[in-house]
Amino acid sequence: MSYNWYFQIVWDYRQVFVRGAIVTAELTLGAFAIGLVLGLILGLCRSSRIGAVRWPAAIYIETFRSTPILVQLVWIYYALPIMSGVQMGNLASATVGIGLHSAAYVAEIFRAGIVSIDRGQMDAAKSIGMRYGAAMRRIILPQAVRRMVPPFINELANLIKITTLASVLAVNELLHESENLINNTYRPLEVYTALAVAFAVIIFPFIYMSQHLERFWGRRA
Amino acid sequence: MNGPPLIKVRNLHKHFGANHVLRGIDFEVATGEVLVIIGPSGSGKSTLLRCINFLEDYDEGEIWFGDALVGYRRDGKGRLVRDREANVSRVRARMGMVFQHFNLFPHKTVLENVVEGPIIVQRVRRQEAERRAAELLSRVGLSDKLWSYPSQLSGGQQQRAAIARALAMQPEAMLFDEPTSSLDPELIGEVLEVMRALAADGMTMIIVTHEMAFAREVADRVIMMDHGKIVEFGAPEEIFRAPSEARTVEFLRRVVH
Repeated sequence: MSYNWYFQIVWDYRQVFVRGAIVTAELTLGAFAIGLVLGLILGLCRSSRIGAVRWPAAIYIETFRSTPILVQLVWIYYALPIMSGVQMGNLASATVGIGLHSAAYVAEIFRAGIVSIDRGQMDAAKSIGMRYGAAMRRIILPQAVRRMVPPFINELANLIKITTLASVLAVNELLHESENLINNTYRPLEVYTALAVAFAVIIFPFIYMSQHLERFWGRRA
Repeated sequence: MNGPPLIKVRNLHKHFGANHVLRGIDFEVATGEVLVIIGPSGSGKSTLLRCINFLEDYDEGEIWFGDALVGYRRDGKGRLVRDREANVSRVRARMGMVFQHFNLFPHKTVLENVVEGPIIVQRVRRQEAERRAAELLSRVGLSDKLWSYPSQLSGGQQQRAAIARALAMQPEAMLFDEPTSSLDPELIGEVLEVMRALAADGMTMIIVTHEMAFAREVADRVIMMDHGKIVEFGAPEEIFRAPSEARTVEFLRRVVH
């Protein structure tokens, strides 16, 4: 038996991939922005000495880490409007859902980065009269962020792939567009292969950049 | 030599869990005085020093720096409650601290390390802060290292930079927590030299150290600690030549070879 590959189909329908990639990029950027901001807040809260600050953050993080993202997305799109009356469009729901999910992982990256910095750094910052906030901003976080870059890139690469789950909310990102295309052309192998290549092309530059940054910082400190 | 007391420690107690590390410490340090604290490891010397600028909180007693109670204030009912962070930081900024492991900021150059406090905490203009920092760094012999990162310096150079960082805040007193304990033997002298000059300048200093010859030379008074208590307190000549406590005798016999 032999299969006749027909990759011409991918080129013929390249517009579909470009359209999907744009939506995937929108989803990724929106979700990562939410994940970074909320994750930083959650990570700091979870590192707090005050229980009333630490516990809610811990519960949030563990809930989002231990339940399937697919369910979280469905829940935000279908169940949240029923309970709160807030109805977001499917792209907004997916962006927020993936962002909230990502925040839990980002928070852990921040927390791990912060605790990895020697305690003497905070001591030294305090000893010259700096307050906690200033010490975090100027002394601890700049050092921690360097150590966070590899896990961050990891998370970003993960996040880009997770955006494909938005297809369950009929968001026209890369996977959803590809599936539509398959339904029209009956060429799943070619289309899925092209989809994989598209993701690799999107993700690889970030991995490359991360390695570059690590080397750059490694030279100085 | 001795002005009014600048630092007063009254009946200080500190626990780490079930471990009672400071068991009622009392002493005063006068303005311009150099106090050296000696004692075996685990005797509570470093913890005592860290309590004085509130890097550790304490459970009982009081520490006064000038007219400020360190770390706590009295509430309406006269009970001691933890002070606001702004006040704690303000008191801390009045004393410099030098650590065993230097704790320089590795992502900043030597100059940036030294100007950090003045610019961020005291709101000194950058130009002015850098001028003063360069002056201080030349005093500790690091004029040629302004743009180096800490990782490019020897241990002795790092510790001298750390002293300059503390001095940049124009502190009223300096606390030294075993400043030469993590240095190679041949680098200890250069750090002690800087400290000697500071003492000669009249800086109020509390020094925790194992350098007995240095202690004897530079101290106005010496405290010997063991098991969270002061076991002996006196002029260096008394402590080193004629210690009256058995534990001091034993300790000195072990460290002075």
